[in-house]
Amino acid sequence: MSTVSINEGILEKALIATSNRKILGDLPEVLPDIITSEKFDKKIARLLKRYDKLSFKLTYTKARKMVCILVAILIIMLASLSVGAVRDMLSNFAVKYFSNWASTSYNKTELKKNNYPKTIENEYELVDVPSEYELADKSVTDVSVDTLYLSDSGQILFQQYTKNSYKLNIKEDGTNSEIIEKNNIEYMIKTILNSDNFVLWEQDGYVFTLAGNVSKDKILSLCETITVKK
Amino acid sequence: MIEFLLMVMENEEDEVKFNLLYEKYKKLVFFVARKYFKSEFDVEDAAYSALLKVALNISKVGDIDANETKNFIVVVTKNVCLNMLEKSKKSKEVSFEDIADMSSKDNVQKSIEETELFEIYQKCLLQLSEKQYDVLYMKYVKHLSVKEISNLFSEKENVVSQRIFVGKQNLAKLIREEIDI
Repeated sequence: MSTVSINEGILEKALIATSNRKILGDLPEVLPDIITSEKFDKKIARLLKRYDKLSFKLTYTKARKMVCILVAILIIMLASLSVGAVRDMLSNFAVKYFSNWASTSYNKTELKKNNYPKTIENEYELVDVPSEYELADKSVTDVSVDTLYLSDSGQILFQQYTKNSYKLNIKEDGTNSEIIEKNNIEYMIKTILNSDNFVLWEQDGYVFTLAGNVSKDKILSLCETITVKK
Repeated sequence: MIEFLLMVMENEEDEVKFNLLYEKYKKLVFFVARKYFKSEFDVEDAAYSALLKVALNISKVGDIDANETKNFIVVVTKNVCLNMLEKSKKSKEVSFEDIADMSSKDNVQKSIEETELFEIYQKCLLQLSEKQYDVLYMKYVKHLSVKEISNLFSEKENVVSQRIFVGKQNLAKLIREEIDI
């Protein structure tokens, strides 16, 4: 009797292709709710006893990832800022020019003269965060505070830096940023990724940035609300 | 058992994954278990056993939302239920179809286009018994070893090996009939 040999490559593909029909079969789209006994609940609770803690960690991990992504996006987007605009706005800003890039940071001599805080002595917070946003992550170092708020539709990232620690690399091309003065503070605002807005400003010896997918007016009003955390 | 499970799930990511998986698929586990048992006590027992199996093999689970994961959960739950039923009947005998003769192989299918062969494979796979299909799925899609499948399905390794062998034999037989050799 002659037989055929099984081609395992085709077998795998065919198994994947048939799995929904063969395994899931007549599975309804909406599954009925379950009511479990106290005994089952206790057993499963033991199994999931670290759920809350882990769930928090997951949020934290996701938020961390989000911070990294946002910072990466900001770095890319800010690369198209104008050196002139940044230097005009940020006091005592030193600029080192390279071919078409400029590395900017605060002038150390000026920093010493002005006695700006070298560490985060007063932590600032956003006061009027839209209600749909929830605090998702916070990262504090001696020289910076990153706070991330998330909603179903977006994110707001608020950052506070000491002047000593703040550096910005800028590519010298195009200026689609604008500077808006409010209450003697200059805010540099730039639209990034079509819908997100980024704001950079100095206040009380620190540098602040705020980025998120909220309107220009709303993000500026948020910037104005920052206060020292008690 | 739970202590053992927690020892196995030392990796925090695995623990998180299992917790999310439980929330997403608990209804599915119960739905499958209810196909085999009428008593709520048995349903819960099967559901819990299946969840333990999944937890112990959580590292084999990829994307929680993937269809492959859903299939994995169903296959594990189904096999737990079948095992419980077999144990309750005190019958561990596994019914297999006759083993076909593999002594003379030829390469007839080489003459058939791969796409056509793919269609034939699908058609024939749908005709396999659930048990045979499930072990083949675990071996060739989830890439589990015989030992891993035997742990997952609570079967002896030689039973799993035999089932894979027979499954492939039956598949070959069905394919042969289909291409009318």
